[in-house]
Amino acid sequence: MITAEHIDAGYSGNTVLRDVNFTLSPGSLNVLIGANGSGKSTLLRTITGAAAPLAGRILLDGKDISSYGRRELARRLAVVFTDRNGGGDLTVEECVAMGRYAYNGPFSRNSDSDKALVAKAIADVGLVDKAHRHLGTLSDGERQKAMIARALAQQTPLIILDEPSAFLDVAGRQDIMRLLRQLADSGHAVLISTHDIAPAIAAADNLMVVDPASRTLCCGSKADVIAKGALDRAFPSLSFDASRGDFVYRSLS
Amino acid sequence: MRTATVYIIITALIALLLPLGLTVGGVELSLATVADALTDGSDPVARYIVVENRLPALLTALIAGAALSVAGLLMQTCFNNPLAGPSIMGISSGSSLGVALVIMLVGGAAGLWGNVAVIAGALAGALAVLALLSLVSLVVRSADALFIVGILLGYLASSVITLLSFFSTDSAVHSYVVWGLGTFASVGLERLPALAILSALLLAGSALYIRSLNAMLMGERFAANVGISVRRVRTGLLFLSGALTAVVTAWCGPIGFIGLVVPHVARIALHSSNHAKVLPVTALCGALTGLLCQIISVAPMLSKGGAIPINAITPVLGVPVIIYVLLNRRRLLYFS
Repeated sequence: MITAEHIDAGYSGNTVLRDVNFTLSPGSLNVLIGANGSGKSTLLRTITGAAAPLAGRILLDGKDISSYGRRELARRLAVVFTDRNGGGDLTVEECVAMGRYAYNGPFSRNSDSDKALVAKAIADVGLVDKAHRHLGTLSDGERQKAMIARALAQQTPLIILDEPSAFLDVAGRQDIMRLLRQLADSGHAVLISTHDIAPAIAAADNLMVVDPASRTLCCGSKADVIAKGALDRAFPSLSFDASRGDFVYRSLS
Repeated sequence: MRTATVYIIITALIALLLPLGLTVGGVELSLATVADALTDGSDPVARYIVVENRLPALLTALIAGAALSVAGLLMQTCFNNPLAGPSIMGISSGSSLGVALVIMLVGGAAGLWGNVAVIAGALAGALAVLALLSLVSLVVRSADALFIVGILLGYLASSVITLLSFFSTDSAVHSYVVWGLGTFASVGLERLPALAILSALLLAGSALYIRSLNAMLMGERFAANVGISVRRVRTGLLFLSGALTAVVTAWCGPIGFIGLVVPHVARIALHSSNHAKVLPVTALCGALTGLLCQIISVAPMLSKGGAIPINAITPVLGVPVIIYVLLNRRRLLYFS
């Protein structure tokens, strides 16, 4: 379980979000929503320990996140990014197997139980028939599933995904969101940041919405956050239609 | 299956070229004469040529080729840049500067102490560039920026070498130019063990990083998230690649292109960037390339009894590979 206590997130002394408080509980799908440049990525960097909070603290299983070593942290928290840097000629299986690195030394080979976990993770995301395919030959959606499988192989209670449905078509987005819902239902605490509002809200248990005016985060159950009007404040040029679960344009002019 | 085939082909080629290399040179020897020289040595001249001259040069070529290629592989993955290599990152230039200082300021490379001074100069120069790069890596987080700093340090070293050459005597400049041509033949039997042991230790050290290298392929954020300490790994890789380059440069002069080209050949042959496969195949393929360069360098029809500088051969072998890689960027999956 991860808890943010009165954190200010930012960089080089510039506060982007202030006094953020939330708890991500096991079995919950949490969706972070905000406009471009509102601080979502900065907040994710802070939550994942990649950047220190400017104030407050983040507790992971009751301990300050900064007190964890890299490998310890990797056993508790998996992060899935959308960036494609290379490794296109690694197979899905080789990539997913990296999820076991935090459990093994530099020379140790993956044990049979590691291999079984990798196979299960690949099966869970539905890529069994593509396990030996190179990452570079996969569609964007399949690649994203491979990255999620790596996070599953990491066996962490908490999985954070930065824009998991970016670059995907409508069916691919639906597919990923269904998969994330299944992860939450199987006991993981899942946090995603996304611009793909409607399917994310449909699947979410909790929302975390950035208010750009006050630079604060409105967190709570889906119904509470919608009732507070946080989504309307996040995108002032739009209005949120709770009955449709999506935004409607106020004006095109 | 593919990996096994690649291993078998490269090993077979090395096994074929090594004895062939012992027959090739200013004095052509038959395989029977070579075998005789290696066993009972009834012909002292043939024994001298084979054991004291050709064998050390070929073994040096094997070792230097493997070391430079692995150095290039480590750099390309560390900087996520397919054009990274020991001769591009300023480390070879640092070595060259160290040797230039020894030859042009201290006074030459003749004799035992001259040789020791040249090796010390090459090592010190490479380590100085490495130390600077390591210091910069503490401040600069971006691998791209660090890569550019390496290139700039190389230019700075070259600039100082040009200045030194301008103020030096003709004979000192000549000595430096000869060293800079690159040769595997200057390492005799007596110096070969030191080169072999140092290279073996550094290559073994590189194997410790296989998992980290694989994670780095996927990007630094990915690597950090699977438990890799990116900064520590990058410093380790910089040290290993720099030390491998420095050792070879100290003994053989600055050898270009092998470190840049061979990792690409290994990846293309294996259809994989998985370092558990690529690292050993790069070492083997580099050894084969070194061997090939040495044989071409002394082939009688080309060298007319002398030896063509290694740096005149490596670009001829390397440039077509790099052009192929650049033209096939989309097809070669390791870019995506």
